[in-house]
Amino acid sequence: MDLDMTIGLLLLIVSLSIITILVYWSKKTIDKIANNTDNRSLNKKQEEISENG
Amino acid sequence: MASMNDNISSELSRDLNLFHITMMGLGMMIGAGVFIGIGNAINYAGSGGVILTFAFNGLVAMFTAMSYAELSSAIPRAGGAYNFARIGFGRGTAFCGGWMEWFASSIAGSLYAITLSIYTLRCLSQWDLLPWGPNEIPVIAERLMAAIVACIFILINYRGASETGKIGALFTLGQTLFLVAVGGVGIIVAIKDPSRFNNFDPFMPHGWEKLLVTMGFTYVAFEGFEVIAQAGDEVVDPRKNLPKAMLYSVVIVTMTYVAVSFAAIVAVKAGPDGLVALENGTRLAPWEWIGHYGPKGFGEAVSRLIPNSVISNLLLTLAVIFAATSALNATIYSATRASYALGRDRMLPTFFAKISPKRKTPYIALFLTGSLVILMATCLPVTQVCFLCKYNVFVFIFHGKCLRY
Repeated sequence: MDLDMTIGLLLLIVSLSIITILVYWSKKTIDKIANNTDNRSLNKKQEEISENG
Repeated sequence: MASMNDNISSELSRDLNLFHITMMGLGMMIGAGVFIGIGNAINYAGSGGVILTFAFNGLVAMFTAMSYAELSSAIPRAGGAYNFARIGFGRGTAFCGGWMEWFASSIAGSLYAITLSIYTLRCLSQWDLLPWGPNEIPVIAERLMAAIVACIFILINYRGASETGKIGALFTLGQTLFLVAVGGVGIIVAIKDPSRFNNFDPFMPHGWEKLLVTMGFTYVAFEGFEVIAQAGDEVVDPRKNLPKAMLYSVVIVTMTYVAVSFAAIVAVKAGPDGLVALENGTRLAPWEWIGHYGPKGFGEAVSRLIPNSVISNLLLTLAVIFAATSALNATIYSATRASYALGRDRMLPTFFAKISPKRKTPYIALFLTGSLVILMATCLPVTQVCFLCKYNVFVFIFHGKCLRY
């Protein structure tokens, strides 16, 4: 196994692990996003735009 | 009558669930691009480079999806990026963004209709069900078939979001299962015959800098999860399901691409000298052999996994047909919701926002968008459709990226 392959495999494992960890934590993150009251005001703004043009 | 969900009003019916919209995102992402991209990526980056390309692109797509997920959860309405631009930058930018989104999706839809038509007719021709040979099909037959398939999917979209979601999910599941099966067979073959791991030597034959090149041209295989944002008015519990679907679709597609590219590399059995012979007798390393075929490299490699050439050709053709079908369904859905949102906000005539009382679908937006798809699929030369698609999707993605940052 040469240096390129060793580095490559390490990077592959790291990148796939980060993706897996992000998805594993996504439930908590999504709950946080969904319950963010600052975000909800944006939707109200969108509804006002739709009503008033 | 407005239905309520999490205090988010919608005139459309909330018939889509997490599975439907995840499949819709996957259907857009796994287009025919991946079948063509793998062979070219191996040619540029080598056997190790192609796997790293998809893993790194998955990481980039995941960060992009997280950004998109937050925006979609905040503004879970039909319109997607157009809504973000409308709130963030006002009417002018939103007008350009919304039109681009509508037009880019419509052009992509016409390209998928043509792809689906060509592959379906060739498949029928191979089974001697048509009076022409596979390479003798007249252009008018291809265009007529493209118009027919576009009409079918316009009618499916008209029948309701539930039908659109179910049909799209069925085809997406078919193509995803094919790719997962290819990946699985590749892993089993490599475990049974460990000598195939030698195909990864050299790991990066052209150096690490080529990785950026292949990441650039294969990223298109990760674009498409944005369509999920268009379902904001029709999905149950949109604040949670939209972000979940985006993240899940990116992770599924990344793992699938990594497994499939691994399978393509190990599918080729090298001789005792570590080389494989071309038809003209030239002997090449396995990665060079796949790369030699360019866009057809993936098909050639997969045909080595399935010894029966008739079955392997049939499976590949069906996979492309399924990919084009699910992408066509998703693009018609996406383009319709984009024009509906523009009509809703008076950026297009307000009749674009009219909802069918029975079906709860934006029927005028659907039929006008469908007409645009059919017009481009039947009247424009294929190369011009491809050029328009490439140009508009690039401008649309660039516009979307600018908005996000």
